[in-house]
Amino acid sequence: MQSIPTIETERLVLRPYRRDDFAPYAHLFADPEVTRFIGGIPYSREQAWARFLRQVGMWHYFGFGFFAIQERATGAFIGEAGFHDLHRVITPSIEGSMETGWAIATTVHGQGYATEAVGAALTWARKSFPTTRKTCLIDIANRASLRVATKLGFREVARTVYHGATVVISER
Amino acid sequence: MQSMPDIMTDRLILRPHRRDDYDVFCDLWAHPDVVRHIGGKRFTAEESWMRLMNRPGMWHFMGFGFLAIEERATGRFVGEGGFHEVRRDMTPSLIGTLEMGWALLPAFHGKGYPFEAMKAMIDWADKTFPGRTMTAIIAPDNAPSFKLASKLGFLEYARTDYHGEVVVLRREVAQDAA
Repeated sequence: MQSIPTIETERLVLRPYRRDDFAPYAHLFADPEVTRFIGGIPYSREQAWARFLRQVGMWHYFGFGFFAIQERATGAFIGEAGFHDLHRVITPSIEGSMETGWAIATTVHGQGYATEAVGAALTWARKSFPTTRKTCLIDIANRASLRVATKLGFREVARTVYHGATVVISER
Repeated sequence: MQSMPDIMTDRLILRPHRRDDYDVFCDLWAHPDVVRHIGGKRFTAEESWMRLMNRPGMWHFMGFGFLAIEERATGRFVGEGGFHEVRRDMTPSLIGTLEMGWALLPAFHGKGYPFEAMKAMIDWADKTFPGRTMTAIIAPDNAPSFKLASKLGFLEYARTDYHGEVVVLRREVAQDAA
């Protein structure tokens, strides 16, 4: 299987998931604030587990994927960020692109962690997959994430409806 | 990451899933006869994709998982089977056991393939995880799966509710196992 890199930033470590990340991972996706714009429904443990497993599969099949994010000061797992290709049935299609995504624990919101983590992941992606299109898909009501995307250089290319929500597709 | 095995039987190859299994993997999980006793709902293409993506993760974190099943004579994708830990919200809990599962395209039914594939997986697991309990859950009206499970040494030990009534089975470790 593809090996997953580790990336250090000023305050964070982006690293491969470990099995013992699952407890805080399940906790993260059981938070309605976190899932509000990610499907809209808190995950059961079983759903969180399926997502956790899928993140590894992405690396296996594509050579890119999501990273676990650890706060350097505390060592705590605080979220995930990275890239996936979900074969979404959506128009315009973003298949074949590296769709950029992130989820950060509400307890550490407001510190710029998402920008720091995704920025580092994008730097890695630029080196490892220089010619692959980087996209992101964000619920139009998710102002915080739209701000992060703008800060990271994503520009809106389309608006569409996906699973009942109006979403903004951006590209970098 | 944990490596995934290739297992050869008389007529089948069990091997890691590949990205290009996706189309036929969608056919498998969108087939009404396949899902009839497994949740009852046909998978959308997106749901099948998620499932294909999470297969390697099971191997990575647990050291066991599902494999794709291929017909040796034709190279065709037949289905999938193996062991997983789904972390279902269910009593009795199956966490910590090797939960067996399988699904075959109806075109390949009636040839004894599931027995051949799952017997090979059980032999693999007996060597790799000696003494670990193997379990399965089967919908009460799924007679063919009960027949197969019984042939593989699984016995009912509980009935419970998991999105509807299910029968929980367990395989006793053979006393005379070498």
